[in-house]
Amino acid sequence: MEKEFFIERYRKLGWEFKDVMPGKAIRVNTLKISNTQLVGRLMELEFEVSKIPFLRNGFLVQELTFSIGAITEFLLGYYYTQEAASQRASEVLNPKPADLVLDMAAAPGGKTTHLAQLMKNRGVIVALDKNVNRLIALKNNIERMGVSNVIAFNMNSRDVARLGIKFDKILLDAPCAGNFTQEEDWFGKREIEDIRGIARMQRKLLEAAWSVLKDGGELVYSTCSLEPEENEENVQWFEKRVRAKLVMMERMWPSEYNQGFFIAKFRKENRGENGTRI
Amino acid sequence: MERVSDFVSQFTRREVFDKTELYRIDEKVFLASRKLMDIAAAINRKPFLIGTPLGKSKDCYFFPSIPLLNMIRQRTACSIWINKPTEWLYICGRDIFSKGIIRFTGHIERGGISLVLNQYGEVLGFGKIKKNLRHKAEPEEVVVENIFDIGDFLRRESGRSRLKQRRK
Repeated sequence: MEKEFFIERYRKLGWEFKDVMPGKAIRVNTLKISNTQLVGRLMELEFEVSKIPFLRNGFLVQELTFSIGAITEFLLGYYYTQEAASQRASEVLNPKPADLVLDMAAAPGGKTTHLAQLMKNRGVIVALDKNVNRLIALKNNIERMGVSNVIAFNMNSRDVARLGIKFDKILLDAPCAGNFTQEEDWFGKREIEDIRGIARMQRKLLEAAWSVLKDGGELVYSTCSLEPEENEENVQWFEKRVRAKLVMMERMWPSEYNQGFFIAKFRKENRGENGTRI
Repeated sequence: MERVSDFVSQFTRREVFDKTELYRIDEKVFLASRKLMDIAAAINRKPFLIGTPLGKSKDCYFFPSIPLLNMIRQRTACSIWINKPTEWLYICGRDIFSKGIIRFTGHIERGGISLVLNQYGEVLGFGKIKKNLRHKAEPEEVVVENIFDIGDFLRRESGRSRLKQRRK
């Protein structure tokens, strides 16, 4: 598609296109170290560090001497290099230490390890991914970050009902079309039909998630796409389809802090099959 | 499960984990809480991982995880502290020269193994003692052979993990 096509639809959604590139972000692993302690250690190594205002443990780092992904503090699991907007998704789900949580597209583990951190390594996180090679990366990150409350399965999230259990909270960070800050010539590589196809796949994942959410439970749906088919349109469809109660919806446009991102949170307030309201 | 216990016994005779929480998946060993085991039993499907990875057995070797070394750290006095310049060399897989050692604690004897810590007391890995550390050694003499270090996280990404090297 032409770049102008996308820019025009962003304008209609309320954003004037800016060709921004977000800074490099990290998330402090408070299972192992405090924000203050880590910032001190990084500054000793001459990193420039600044707090990301909308995150609890997120910081932007500017590399001057060393690469942030290859220093002792990284290998000790004191932080995860994680894009700022994607840190928002776990914070919005806000899992508690006693919760049984499902992470539907878990590997390589950025959000899974973040959920564990928010749960203080208590409760249980069931993590799913269909790609076994990516699960190896998940295992390495769990080991590095000192996470101990995860059980992971190699399976397609669309089959999650086969697990036979229901969850208090679910994170569906869905596979998506991505956005222009992640990939060179993103605009030239995307067709609207491809985006619609991805949106259909995401709807199947949303339905699968809803089928294993407990009554009173909460589901966070997120994408790193800016396209309405994958975001607001899927939310509208889902609200009608299962009568999900939309608790919040947030669209993050690319900025110096973050890439493009979309988050919606639903609550299951109904009982019975297929969302029949009582 | 014996391999993990044998490995730990090289550092300490004290219990470093509750053996009833050990969980095995193929050659990998994990430490799983009762809650995790209950979920695993309810799902009745082979997990890819559960709880804390402790390590894996391959042929006659046991390859410990970093969390296991951290657990051992809580239960052993045998440790070698290394200085800042030596830290990164060690993480890159190098052996330790005499001049890189700040201090050591516990019963450290030639032929034995010890945890290797940085100046802050953080676990970087473990190694085999090549020289009696109580005796004077030349500054550039190798006194600790690197067996495993946290740089393995980077090597795994590039397919150069110590595990693969040892299998050759």
